Amino acid sequence: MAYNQSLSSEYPGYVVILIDQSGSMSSPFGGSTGGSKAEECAKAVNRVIREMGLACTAGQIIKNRCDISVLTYGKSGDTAINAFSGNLASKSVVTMEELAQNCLKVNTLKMKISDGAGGLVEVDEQFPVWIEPYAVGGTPMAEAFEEAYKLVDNWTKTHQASFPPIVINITDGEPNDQARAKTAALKLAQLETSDGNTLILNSHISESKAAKIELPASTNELPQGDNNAKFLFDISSELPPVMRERAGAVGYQPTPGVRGFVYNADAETMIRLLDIGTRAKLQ
Amino acid sequence: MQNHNQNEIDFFTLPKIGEKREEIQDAYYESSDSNLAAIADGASTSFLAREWADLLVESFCKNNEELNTINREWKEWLKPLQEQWRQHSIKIRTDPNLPWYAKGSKEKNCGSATFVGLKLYPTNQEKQKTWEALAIGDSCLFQIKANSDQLISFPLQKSEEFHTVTDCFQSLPEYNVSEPTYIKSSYDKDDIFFLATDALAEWIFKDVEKGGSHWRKLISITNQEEFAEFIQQIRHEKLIKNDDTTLCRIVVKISEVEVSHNSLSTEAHLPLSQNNHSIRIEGNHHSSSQNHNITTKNPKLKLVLLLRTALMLIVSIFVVIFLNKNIFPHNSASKSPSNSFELSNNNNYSSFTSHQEIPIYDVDKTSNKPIGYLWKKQPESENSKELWVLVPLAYIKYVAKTNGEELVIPNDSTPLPLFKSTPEPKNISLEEGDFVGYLLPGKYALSQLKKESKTFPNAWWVKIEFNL
Repeated sequence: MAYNQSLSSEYPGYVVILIDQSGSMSSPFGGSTGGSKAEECAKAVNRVIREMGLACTAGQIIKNRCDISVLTYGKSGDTAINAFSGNLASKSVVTMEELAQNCLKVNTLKMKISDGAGGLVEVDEQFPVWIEPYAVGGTPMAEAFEEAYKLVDNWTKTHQASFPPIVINITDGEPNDQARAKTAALKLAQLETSDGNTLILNSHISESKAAKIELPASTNELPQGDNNAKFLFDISSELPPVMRERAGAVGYQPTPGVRGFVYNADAETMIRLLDIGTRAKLQ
Repeated sequence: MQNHNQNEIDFFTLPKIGEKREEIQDAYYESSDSNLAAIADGASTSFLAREWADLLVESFCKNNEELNTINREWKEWLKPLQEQWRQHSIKIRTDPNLPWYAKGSKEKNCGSATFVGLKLYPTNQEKQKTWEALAIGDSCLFQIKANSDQLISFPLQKSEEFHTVTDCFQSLPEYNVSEPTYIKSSYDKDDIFFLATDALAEWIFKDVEKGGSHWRKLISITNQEEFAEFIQQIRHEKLIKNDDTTLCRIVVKISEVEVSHNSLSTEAHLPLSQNNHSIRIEGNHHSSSQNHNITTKNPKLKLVLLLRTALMLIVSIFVVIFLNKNIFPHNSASKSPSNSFELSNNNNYSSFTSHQEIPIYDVDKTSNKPIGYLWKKQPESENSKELWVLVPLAYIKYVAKTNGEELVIPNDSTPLPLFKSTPEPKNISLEEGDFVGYLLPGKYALSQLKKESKTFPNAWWVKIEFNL
């Protein structure tokens, strides 16, 4: 049975995040939080990495249960390059521990929680930043998938027993060459470990004010006439049973055939679908 | 005349591969009078899971109420534990010295744990022996009835019921979503109870479902090292998930003046509550493994036990002798007595073939006994003193000390054929000289080099070194 392996120190997983930092991302984000699409994209990738860090922490120790690469496309001409800066800029594949020690800064939001005696107590909600917003150039999405192919090909050779790699593409969905991007994505999905094929998940950040969509099962659920959404849906993988089960536990109603695709929604929710440890049923 | 039990309780635990003991998310506890035991499995994606699991097991074992009451009023039972946990979590979340990943988040703000706890009641005035259990999620209890094939499980019944998500006790009352389940039943002296977290419980079910009795080895494990070796072996064979693995074993010991099997079978058993289910298992060796130093003041009983053990010993010897006479089924092709092998007696080898067999020896030359035989001398050009042998995966054992593997061919196994290369069995031909000899039962060090068989499942080609 495929997609059975859990992510652990012995058999770590691999997440490759592709972020669209092209010029078109400077337009306003259609979702409720406002700001530009580029700001939303940077927020998304920082939150995805944060969520992975939280999932890999047991007690107060962060464990290397998942390797990460982040590639940016748009700001460096027709290529995709390592999105990290600082100490991590030279490392194409990074561990959780390295990520945890090397953020650019930590933003803090104050939050109030119950003190159990009818009152409230203030706690800090901390959001580390690894990627800053950017918006320049075209959208070489195909090149990004091709670059990801090299990283994933290399990684799977030495991690055949691990859960298959997961590629998360955060974009507004307008690639330079849609056909070439589609081919490159499907080719990337062919790379595999002994536990199954690489999964491609897409987080669509749109100017449209359409309501958010999470894990659709067919194009009927997408905003009508949105070709970018349809294109991204087409290159999103079907979620394997293990991830559907966890989606059910965090509040979705996944039917077989649901794809790893969210539209104007929190990309980091997709991290909660990964098996980095048992999850309690909260619904 | 107050009867009391002196139950033997042992805990064994092993973290997932590559992680440290201190980082285990499983918790366990026993009461000082040995009548209560509990284990809990903290969900590692939840917040401060280990602390929550610890609170649950300790509170359970220090509680005097009947489990029936706790089950009905479980929210009340959890309340003080949740308050304690909440104060601890606030301290953590407001600690300026902790890194961002150790402080949870808006979504990661609550601890979750599965739980199973057992309470054994001493024999009461009406001679009834009752036990109760409370559980939530996929940590399981097993009751192994003495002198019977029965294995009772609670709350789950089969391996398909294990998933990546599970019900849990939550460390904040606002998340009190799932209810626990409760059972009440009866026990006898010599019964054994297991409490196991999900990876081990799932493996026990799978073993029973395929008719195995490998799980019985857990009855006689005596220390942490034996447990670690046992679990590492089944992890190596990919039979059990790589997860924190915890076992609590409770052996029921009763010190009573009068114990007689007849009276036990006629007394009324308490009605079973929901979720009780028996797994019928094949196998009749149960009673022989149950003789754990029963302290009894009854000399008559001692004599009965002694006679029973002696009888079983005689039967076992008879069975072993009988089996050894028919050790090589593949010899049925040729019925000539000169073709029958007897492992203990090497003399008959020479009559098998007209060639002169060459004995081969252990690489370290530690003993004069051959480890196998080759049909004929290898040509001088082929000086490599290693050959391939096809073995079942279960013969390949992981050796923790060297972090390597060894081949263990059991004494009652047939000798295994040795090959120069690794032909799939359908391609073997004697003329081509591939099949060159036999390897006898024993223990052999293995190198890293091994190949999976393309013909048989769970069979591997491994290389053996030898000396002439």
